[in-house]
Amino acid sequence: MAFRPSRRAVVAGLSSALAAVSARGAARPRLVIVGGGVGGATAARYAAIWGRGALDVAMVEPSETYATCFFSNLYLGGLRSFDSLVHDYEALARRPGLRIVRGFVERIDRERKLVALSDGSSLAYDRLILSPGIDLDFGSVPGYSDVAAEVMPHAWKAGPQTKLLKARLDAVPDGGLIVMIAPPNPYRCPPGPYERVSMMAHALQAAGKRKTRIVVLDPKDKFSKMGLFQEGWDRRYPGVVEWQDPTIHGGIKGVDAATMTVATDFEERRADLVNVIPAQRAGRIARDAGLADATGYCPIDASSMRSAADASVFVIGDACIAGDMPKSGFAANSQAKVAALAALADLVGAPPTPAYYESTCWSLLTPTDCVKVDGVYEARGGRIKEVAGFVSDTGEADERRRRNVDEAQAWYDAMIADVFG
Amino acid sequence: MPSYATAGGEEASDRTAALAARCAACHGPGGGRGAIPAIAGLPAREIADKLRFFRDAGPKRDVMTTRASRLSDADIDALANYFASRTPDRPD
Ligand SMILES: Cc1cc2nc3c(=O)[nH]c(=O)nc-3n(C[C@H](O)[C@H](O)[C@H](O)COP(=O)(O)OP(=O)(O)OC[C@H]3O[C@@H](n4cnc5c(N)ncnc54)[C@H](O)[C@@H]3O)c2cc1C
Repeated sequence: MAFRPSRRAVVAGLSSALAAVSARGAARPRLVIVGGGVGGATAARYAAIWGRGALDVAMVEPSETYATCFFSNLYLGGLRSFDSLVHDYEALARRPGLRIVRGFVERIDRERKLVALSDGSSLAYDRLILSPGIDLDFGSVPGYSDVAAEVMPHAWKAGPQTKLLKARLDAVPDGGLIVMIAPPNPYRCPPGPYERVSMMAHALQAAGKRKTRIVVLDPKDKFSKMGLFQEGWDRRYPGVVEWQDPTIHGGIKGVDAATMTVATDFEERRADLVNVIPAQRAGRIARDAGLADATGYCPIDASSMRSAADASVFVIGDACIAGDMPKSGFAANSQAKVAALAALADLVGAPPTPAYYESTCWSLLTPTDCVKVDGVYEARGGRIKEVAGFVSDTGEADERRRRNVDEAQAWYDAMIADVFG
Repeated sequence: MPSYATAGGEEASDRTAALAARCAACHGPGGGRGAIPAIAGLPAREIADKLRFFRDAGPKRDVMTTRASRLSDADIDALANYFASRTPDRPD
């Protein structure tokens, strides 16, 4: 039976609305969350805390653990262990009112408000929050595929791919060549590829491989924090990094994993390591459910994260179109809180609360030099718009950059507690 | 939801919960205890003064300056009371 908020509750705040729902003693409204990554786990955690047991919250995720993409570049640089990136769902599973369902959502029946899992079971929902992250579009780079990725890792989803990239990086000989193919916009973590270049350069330097070069073939003519990265590369790794925009490489023709070659309009080169980061789009489940537009990502209402295609569904994190916000873990965490509160308000009949959004991304150039980009966002004129923000300045004092490193490390621990705690 | 009542009643406390959740992203649940300064359990007055400082005269290229820039006086007082009433061991 379709869920209907009681009319009486609509005038009050969330607390009275929750009390009214409990007092009715009817079946608890059901919130299903698909994906236990940054967005999904944050939404589940806050829905459980704020719902105070009045909701039945179920989060569906196939993996037992989650490895963060954020700080995976620090692992490549030799600054962190892989294990330090891996987190489990045990603390979340102990939260009252929250069930963690291990499974993969195969299909969403929006008509009947059901999600079907690959094991044949299904879950009914009154509201649904989707945070499936991205899918990689292997076909965007000719010759690339999931099979080629075993030789030319993308490492754009953290896990075995990340370890493979690290092993291959450590095996590059002095004097060897590393090629990165950077992704076109829009993609997960705008400064991510360039922080990765910095951390690879650091690993080479630390290993005494002074003659190894990193060539970045970029389909874009500019990128996030570009001036800061280029200044950092010149200063910290002189002669190591060569960034090429389309006017220089003429176009990326494709890769051949069998011969370890990369072809551009101008030349074909054999490399010792090729890191291909292909084009991206919303995770398949969101696209199959008909929630994405022609861009491959999902339009949402800027004040609630509600899908533009379905009032009972919210899409958050990398899968959605969030206006001025980057596709970052910080952004996914912030959007999850907005969606959890909006879903709760729907389900218990409390009035909506204003939406607050923000994201800060720290990028390490070296172990002691970190730059950041920051934004605060609000719903304005139907889209999520930046209302305050900054980017680190070129030429900043070493001391300030060192403090940014400490800030980034502290942020990681706080964020993990806020997502999985 | 915070269980205390604020001047504006429940709607104001829903707003405070949403605002306080923003802080958790860097300070940790309930105000944290890490290298990003812990705010849980600090005197309300001290928290409010700091937030007003960041809002009105915060340093450039500082995360707190952009976060505080959008806060009203009522928001600042509500957040200060909220975090003053937390402890890191009982974050939510
Ligand atoms: C190298 C790199 C560095 C980065 N650095 C930073 C950084 O410093 N700061 C920052 O804020 N962000 C950073 N990011 C970005 C950040 O990792 C993402 O923006 C964030 O993970 C997005 O969260 P999400 O919930 O949308 O997706 P994800 O975290 O990818 O979670 C998606 C989850 O959904 C699950 N899922 C998918 N489909 C289904 C299905 N059908 N059924 C059930 N479950 C499903 C998946 O298993 C996965 O666990 C970085 C990314 C990369 C690649």
